[in-house]
Amino acid sequence: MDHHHDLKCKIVVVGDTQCGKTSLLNVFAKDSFPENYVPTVFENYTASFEVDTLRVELSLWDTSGSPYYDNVRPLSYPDADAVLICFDIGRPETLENVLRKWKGEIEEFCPNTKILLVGCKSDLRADLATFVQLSNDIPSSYDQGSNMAKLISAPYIECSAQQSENSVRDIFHIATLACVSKNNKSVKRIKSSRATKRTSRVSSRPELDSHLHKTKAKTCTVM
Amino acid sequence: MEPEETEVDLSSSWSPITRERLLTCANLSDFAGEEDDFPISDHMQDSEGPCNKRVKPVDKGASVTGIITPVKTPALKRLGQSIQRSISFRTEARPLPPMPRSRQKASSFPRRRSSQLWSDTVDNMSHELSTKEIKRQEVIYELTQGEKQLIEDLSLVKKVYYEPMLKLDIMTESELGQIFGTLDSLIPLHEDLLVRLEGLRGAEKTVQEVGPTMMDWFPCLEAYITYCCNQVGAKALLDQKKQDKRVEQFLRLCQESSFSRKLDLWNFLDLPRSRLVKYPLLLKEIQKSTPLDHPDEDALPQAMELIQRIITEVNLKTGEAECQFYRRGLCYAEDSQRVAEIQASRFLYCHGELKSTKGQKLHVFLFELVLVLTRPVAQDREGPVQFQVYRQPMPAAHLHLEDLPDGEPSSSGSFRGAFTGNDKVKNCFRVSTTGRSKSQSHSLQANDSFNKQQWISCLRQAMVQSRDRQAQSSPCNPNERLSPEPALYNNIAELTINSDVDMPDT
Repeated sequence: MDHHHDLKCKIVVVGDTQCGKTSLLNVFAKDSFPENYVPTVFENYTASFEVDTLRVELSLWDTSGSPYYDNVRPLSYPDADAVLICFDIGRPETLENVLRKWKGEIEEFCPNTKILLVGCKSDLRADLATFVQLSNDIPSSYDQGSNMAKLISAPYIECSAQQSENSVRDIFHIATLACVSKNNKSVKRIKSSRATKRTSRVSSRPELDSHLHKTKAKTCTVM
Repeated sequence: MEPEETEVDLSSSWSPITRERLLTCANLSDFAGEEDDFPISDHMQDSEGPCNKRVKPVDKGASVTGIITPVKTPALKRLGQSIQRSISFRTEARPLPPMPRSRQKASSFPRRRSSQLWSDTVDNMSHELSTKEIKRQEVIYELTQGEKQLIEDLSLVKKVYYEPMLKLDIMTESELGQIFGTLDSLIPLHEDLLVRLEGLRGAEKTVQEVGPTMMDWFPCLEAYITYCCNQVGAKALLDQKKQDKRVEQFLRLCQESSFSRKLDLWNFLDLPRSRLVKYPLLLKEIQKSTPLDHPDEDALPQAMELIQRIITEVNLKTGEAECQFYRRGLCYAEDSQRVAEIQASRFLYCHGELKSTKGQKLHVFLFELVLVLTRPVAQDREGPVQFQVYRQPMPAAHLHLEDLPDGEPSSSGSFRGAFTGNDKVKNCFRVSTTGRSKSQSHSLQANDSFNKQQWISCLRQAMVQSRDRQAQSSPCNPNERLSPEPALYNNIAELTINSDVDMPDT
């Protein structure tokens, strides 16, 4: 019985409208970027991972970033274990809104939830000259994203749904680890004394930082 | 066992949001013996393995080809892969792409729906159409398939969740009515749209005009106002009932069954709201692919404006419903605490946990017109969390806000005493009032600087708008107090209709 125990994690994906959330989820679900047509809608979906005897059921929720839905959107948040705040690397204002809007909203509705900052559309940096001609903005740099992540106390990861499904998979891998880490800590918190709580909190960060570091290395490798 | 539950109950008294998560943890500890703690640790250790291995294989464009699978798949995942394969074969006879996640989806609707494109349903005529027109047909097809999928899921909810729980007496009809709301009445609306959309398909399965159809259909989505308003209370009741073992067991069995695609009941109950906000996105995509001088050129923008107006209304009313929900959760120690501004507020700016000077955890609500400090109390073990009003609520119009700098001892020495050994106090602000009631002052501490900034921003906004409103006109108040009631009346009426509809099914 114990060997078939499932760990259920819920991940909610938020961010400004048109910043790449739905593509991120669709590419993860299909493990590839669609060649012919990119769906507009992502229906809630549960993915399963199995590592040794631990099976993780990852429940994925897409949301709408439009301000029209500020009262309706919170109905997505209950029971979330992790929230991915996404921004479009090609549109710096979406990075600014991470702090201006999303951090506050998540603090209010998910005060004890893990947060990860995700930079979407990292491929836009590859052809900088063309990009600058097409739009008036300069893409956000990795450092800008990383600094924002520090401000909100979250790991930072980048991806390109269009060019690298591996980068998308890595994001959800890290998100799953954040959920597992959180659940692990929560279980211990119930059973253990206060001294252990502090130890758990301290120990969980180096591991996440470690993964962040590896992700960074991976990103460089891909580029 | 009991000590753990006691601890959970104590923890859950702070905040309903936290309570939900801690209950999940409690359930987790029920299943996990001491042995399970170790496997979790194993997972943490093994997590580095897959990361390292993934660096080695180079990503290739032809991911669909089965040949490269051995290279891409880490050894650890092959076990899962074979399991998925056996599951898939039982479901479908045709060979599937060798992707673990694809196989996981083989038995679920999303794969069937999302993997099929409009161009897959048409024979060879598509080469005569422009790329733009093909894109347009794809979006319209996605819209149509989405309706079909929603109808299937909502019907499933009724047949697999609502009716069995009613017959097995797992919940009362009244409770089920609150949780499922007017969901049953939404199904015919989407069946209507599906019929219309399929009727639009002409020669070669192409759709010419879609704008007028959407314009004609969107008004019926006003029904969503009632459904979405009900969801705030539905979630709270569902969480409460999940503490009943029979309910929890039934829902878990459903989630583990194949028909649910491992989605839980709240996922399904959330489908209508989730679908509602997709329509503007779909219309926008259709618009992008619609050339000038197309018959849809005028109708699509009008349809877009219409759906945006409806969603704005749903959003507004949902905010009011949330405000009403938390207002009903307040308990008053004295009648003088029932200030008029609480009842007159139409929405909630924000709410959350803050600490007082005594280190006490307070749950603070900033309604439109008033700031209310409360202490969460559990009515009984299975009851909903309620909030005992603490001191006198402070009308926003009479509020004063003071930002307390970090690191400096507060002028009132009590903070220092509250946090023994902590010479510096961070993330604090003070709210005070000298209104008609007795003057009072509270120093409050937020979790971090961002949380504090959010509170200060909301408080300033509430103060400014409250004073502006007070300056304008007081006769408006009576009307605005009445405005929530029509919505409640609608809810009751819909509930009655819903009950009547369900009677024949019994």
